[in-house]
Amino acid sequence: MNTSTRSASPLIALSALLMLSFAWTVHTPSAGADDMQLTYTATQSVQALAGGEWLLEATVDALGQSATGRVTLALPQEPDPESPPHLELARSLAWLSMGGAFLASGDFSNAVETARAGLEALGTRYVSPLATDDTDLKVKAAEMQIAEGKMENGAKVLLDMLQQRTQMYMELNESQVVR
Amino acid sequence: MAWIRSLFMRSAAIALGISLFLPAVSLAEPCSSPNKSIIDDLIELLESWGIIADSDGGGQSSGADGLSDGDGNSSDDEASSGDEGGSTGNEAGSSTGTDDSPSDFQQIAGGDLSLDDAPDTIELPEELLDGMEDAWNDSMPRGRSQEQGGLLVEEDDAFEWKRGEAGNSGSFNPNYDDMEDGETLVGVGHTHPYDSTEGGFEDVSFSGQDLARLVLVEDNIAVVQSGESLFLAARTEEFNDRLDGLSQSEKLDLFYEMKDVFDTAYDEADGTFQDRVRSGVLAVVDKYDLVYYEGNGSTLHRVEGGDE
Repeated sequence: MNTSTRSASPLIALSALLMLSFAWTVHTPSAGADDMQLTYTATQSVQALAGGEWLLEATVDALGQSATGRVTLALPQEPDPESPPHLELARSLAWLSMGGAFLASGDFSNAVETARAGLEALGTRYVSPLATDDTDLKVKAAEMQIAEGKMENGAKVLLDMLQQRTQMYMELNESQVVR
Repeated sequence: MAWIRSLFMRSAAIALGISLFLPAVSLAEPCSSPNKSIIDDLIELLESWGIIADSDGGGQSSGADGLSDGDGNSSDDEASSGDEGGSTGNEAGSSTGTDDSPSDFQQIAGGDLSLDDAPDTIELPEELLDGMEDAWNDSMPRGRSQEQGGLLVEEDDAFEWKRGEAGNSGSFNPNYDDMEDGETLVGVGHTHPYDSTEGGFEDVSFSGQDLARLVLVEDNIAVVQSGESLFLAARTEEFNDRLDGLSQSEKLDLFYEMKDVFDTAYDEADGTFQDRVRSGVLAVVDKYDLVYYEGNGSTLHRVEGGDE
């Protein structure tokens, strides 16, 4: 079910619309010796849906672009709007969306930056420790390619790994993350 | 209506942001230190799934779930493979292995050999070799990388390879559910393919998680194939001693610590991608008393950090 359909629910009108805004600076490793700094603004909102579900939206504004990640959560009670659970997922999905747009437009450098921001936003607790997760090696390999100037390949792999990690995160938290 | 809602949300967010939360915050700092609450949540989550035992020992820890009980041995007597009467390994003259050195792999597969007793070379059993080769041959469908793998189990002194479902380009989920009664888990093998977009690398050894997960699972060995190269890491008596008495939370701390050690060594290493990965591997196996082998074909040679 997409968001627009959910927005039509009368429960939305009764729900509290909770939004918060943050300004962030993310430090990401660059191809060279110096760290890159990507400054962005992040907002989030939580809306009540039917059946004990909540729509968490996280929007990031950076590099002249804006993107939103949406996650439907199944929670027994209203989440804390300041730090709702799985905000890292929603925010990383926003970065993934923005990175995909940069990649599609041929802006590989910014695709790399947004992919890095997404990977950092999601963090390291995205997968069961029992899995043989090698995405970290793929990220390292991508960074080597980026260091060699192969920005398109690097961007593609970083975004692919970000997508895979968000999927693993959802599987790990499937009891709470509906979609 | 969507644009109205979006406009409202954006305006409200900006207003709130200006008044409350504009100071810049670095993301790097909170990501660099373990978050105990998150770890605890993860433990609870895994416990709720029944795939990790309760810290107090009250949870599930069957012999077929792939999880360690703290000293590298299954808590299920039938699947015991350690130092308490287990059936895996340590049986010279067993029918498995090669004729020339039938006991080397058996010893490693037992998972409780001391570092000093670990052989310099091992001969992999055909079941493992064939299984890994089969997995590797399917690891580049349509030119795109896809990890493959499976389980090596033992029953009645015979090994069997159980192929798992395909993973994706960056991970593989071990098929522990394929374990059957009477079988003893030896370990998990999987592939490390890199397609052309990913650099086309071969001979890529273990990731940090490949090694660190040995803290949490009952696999006695871990195997990776990348191109013609095979890599094998095995738990030891010393490694098992490290885990003895640790709670699940403490094991998770150790898990993340091992990953950090890998990353630090990788970052500090020079050379090719494969060289740097190898540096990470050697740092972990040396520090945490795992035994590590490399090679092409059936014969693998032991490598230690001091050899470099």
